[in-house]
Amino acid sequence: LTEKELPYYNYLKFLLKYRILLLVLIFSAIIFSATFIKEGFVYNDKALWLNGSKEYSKLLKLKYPSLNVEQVVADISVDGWSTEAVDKLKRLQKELLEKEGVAGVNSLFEQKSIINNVLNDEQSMMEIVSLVDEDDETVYKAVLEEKGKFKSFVDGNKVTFYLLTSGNVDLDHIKSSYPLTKTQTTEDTHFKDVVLFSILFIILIASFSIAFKSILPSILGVVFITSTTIATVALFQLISAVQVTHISIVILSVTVSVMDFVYLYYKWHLIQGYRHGPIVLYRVITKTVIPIFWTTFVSIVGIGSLVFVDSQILYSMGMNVILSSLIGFILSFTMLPMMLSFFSQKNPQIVTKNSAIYFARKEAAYHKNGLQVFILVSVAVFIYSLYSYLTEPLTVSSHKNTNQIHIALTEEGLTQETLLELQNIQNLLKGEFNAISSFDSAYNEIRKLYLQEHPGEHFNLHNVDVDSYAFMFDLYDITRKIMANDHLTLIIYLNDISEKPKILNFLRDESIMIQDLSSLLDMAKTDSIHTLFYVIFFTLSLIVVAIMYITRMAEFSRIALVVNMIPLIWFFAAIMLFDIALSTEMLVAMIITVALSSDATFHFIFYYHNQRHKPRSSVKALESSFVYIGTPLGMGNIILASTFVTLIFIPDQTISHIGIFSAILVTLSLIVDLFVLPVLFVNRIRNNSSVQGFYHGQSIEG
Amino acid sequence: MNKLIIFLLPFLIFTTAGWSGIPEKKQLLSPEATLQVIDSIKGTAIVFGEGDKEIHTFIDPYCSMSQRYLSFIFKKKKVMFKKYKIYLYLYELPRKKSKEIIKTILSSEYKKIMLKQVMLDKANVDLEDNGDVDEIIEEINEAAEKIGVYKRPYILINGKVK
Repeated sequence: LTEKELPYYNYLKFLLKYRILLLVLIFSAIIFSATFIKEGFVYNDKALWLNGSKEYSKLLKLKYPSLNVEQVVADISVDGWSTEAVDKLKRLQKELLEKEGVAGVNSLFEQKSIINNVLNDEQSMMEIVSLVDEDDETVYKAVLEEKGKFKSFVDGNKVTFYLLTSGNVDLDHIKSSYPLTKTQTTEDTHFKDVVLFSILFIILIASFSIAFKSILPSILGVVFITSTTIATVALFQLISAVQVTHISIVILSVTVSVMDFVYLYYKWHLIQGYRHGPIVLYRVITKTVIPIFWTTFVSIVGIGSLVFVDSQILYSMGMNVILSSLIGFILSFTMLPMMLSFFSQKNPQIVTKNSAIYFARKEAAYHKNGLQVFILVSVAVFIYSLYSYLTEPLTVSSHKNTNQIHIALTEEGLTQETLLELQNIQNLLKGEFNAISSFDSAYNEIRKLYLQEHPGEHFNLHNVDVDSYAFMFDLYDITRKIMANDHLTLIIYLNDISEKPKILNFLRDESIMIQDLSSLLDMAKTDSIHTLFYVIFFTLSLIVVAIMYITRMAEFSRIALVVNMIPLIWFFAAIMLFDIALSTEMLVAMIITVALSSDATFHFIFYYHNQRHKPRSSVKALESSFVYIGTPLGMGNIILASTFVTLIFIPDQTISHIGIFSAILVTLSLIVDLFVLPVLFVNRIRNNSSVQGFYHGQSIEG
Repeated sequence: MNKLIIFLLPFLIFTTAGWSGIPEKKQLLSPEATLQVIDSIKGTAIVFGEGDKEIHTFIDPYCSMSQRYLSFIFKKKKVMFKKYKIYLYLYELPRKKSKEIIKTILSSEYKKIMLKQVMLDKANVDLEDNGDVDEIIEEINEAAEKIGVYKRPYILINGKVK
């Protein structure tokens, strides 16, 4: 081969010849795109989950009223349950009702009782009275006498107000005599952005400097990662159908580009120990382009397939992975080599070289029983998580205390037919689920009124004059509590929150319209986890096929499948075991893991496979793989894991959860890549002498 | 002896009720017949609201329960007057001695305002004895007796007492 015939030679020559011009063009494009980025990233994922979800779309199609149920819990420990507390809580309710956007409050004060107000035989009237109109003493006694009835609202020293809101309501600055816990708080996203980017910046600079004992990778790394992230976010905002930019997009982009940078820079850094000049860059490109290409391909085709899902959150994730992988790949083989061509590293330090060889030798002498036990335990964990998934629904509710489901009828009006429908739904649910404690509906109110008016008589809906009760509901201002936009509503109270997903599924199967956003959110999440499973399965299949294509060996494909599955299986088992609620954060963490784990697999297998073509023993091949791949893999993952760990301290639940889940998964993935993958190589590939073109060399025992 | 008491008890209750003048606590006419009677006295009512559904109520201006009823209606007047057409018939409760105030209200040029002043604002108004309204009062009384109005407020929805 002449120089010109070498693959990528002309490409590299072109890059180096026009490097200044090309770099100016790239930086100008990135700065230009940075000016288009809309300020402020979204931290709250509620809208992203809901938009595009099946049940919410149905609701929107019918121009149906949907409600946010926000909880405000007052801690009355100071006074305990007393008439003073009642008075202060009444004032709090008034304050809450006066907030803009609050459509109603469901609280102990809204509980109704029917009284036959009789002055004498000639002067009487049946009245429906809410506790809010009663004096403090009556309310105090009513709650003490019927604790069970008020359990959803008064539980020990915790008094809960459920706010029904039609949009976002600012729940801060509420005047209250008691400390309040709210499900929603106003976010200072700008402050969080600043803290997040500062932490990312500091951690990346520090860790690159420590890992390579030089300031150069810190500068180049930050420039490369910032450029990739800016380009990804700008392009996302430009072409994405989803208008909001969730903060996870930034984090995913940073993760993908960190790994690309570490692999390339490490290679460049290492080769300079024995080579100088353009050959260094040439070798960097030839050694990394294939695994990075396949990782990018798998990410784009596999995880990127999420863009075809209707859910906005999954679409965002898919689009985000496509863009960050693609931009990361392009900049890795354009901007990064051009920047590196301006620098050289004298006496590059590889502090981990000896330890990598030590590890490789230790692992080559692994205990077969250890591997078998680990694989068996992982299989058991897999069976456990599969069994749990099939028998118990996943926890999807982020607000564990929301023990209510609000549904509304599709038919309009308060009529005999709609009441009959309510009656049927209630009977159906009560017969099916023990977890339901009570209902709040027009049907129940009418039944109570009828039995009060006709003591001892059997209640039959067909004998009821609906108009007369509708008049009473209007007269006593109850209509707004039993109807929404002229549709009858039903509130289902649960005494066992764990049954909620089953009830929601049942309601969906019966085509009953769910109205509260909290329940809709739960259903959207349940739907998305199924989609995500398919996507992960598809991605794993792609990895298997791509590895098969690269190596032409089924054994490598099997190894790839096992090492990519293990961290996910363990993580999923932990979700089921600890009953962790499904969230965007978790999806981000799982996608990061699939992306990182496939990245590691491609690099490791590609390198080990190439090494085994050379006249080297499996141990030598493993040592070399550890030095060239294991080290940057470990470095990149440790940098990412430590970055994710620091995210835990950011005062935002979304970010800190991404931090926790990703740190756990990245660590799991790293353990599997460094301790299981190499052992599987030695175990499965070492003795496979039937494969042509492989040199098996001297065995470790020899 | 016991058998005698059991035999006599219903008779005693019936006669006692009759002597004491307490009206029987049930609607005497069918809903359809009630509506026919009501149709005949519609013109005598004080009407609030322009809704589709008709609500007919017999009230006494001095009856505290009737006053409470009216206050509930006015508290939600925006909804109530849009949805309902509320016919109020002034029908005296003997013990309230409200005949004069009924006459005064019905003979007033501003019946609605006067009714509100008396029942909601509890205002003292000058009583006027205008003979013109005796006929109206008689009409209402006759209709009420036919229907069996035994209490105030006596709310009729679709011809049935609430």
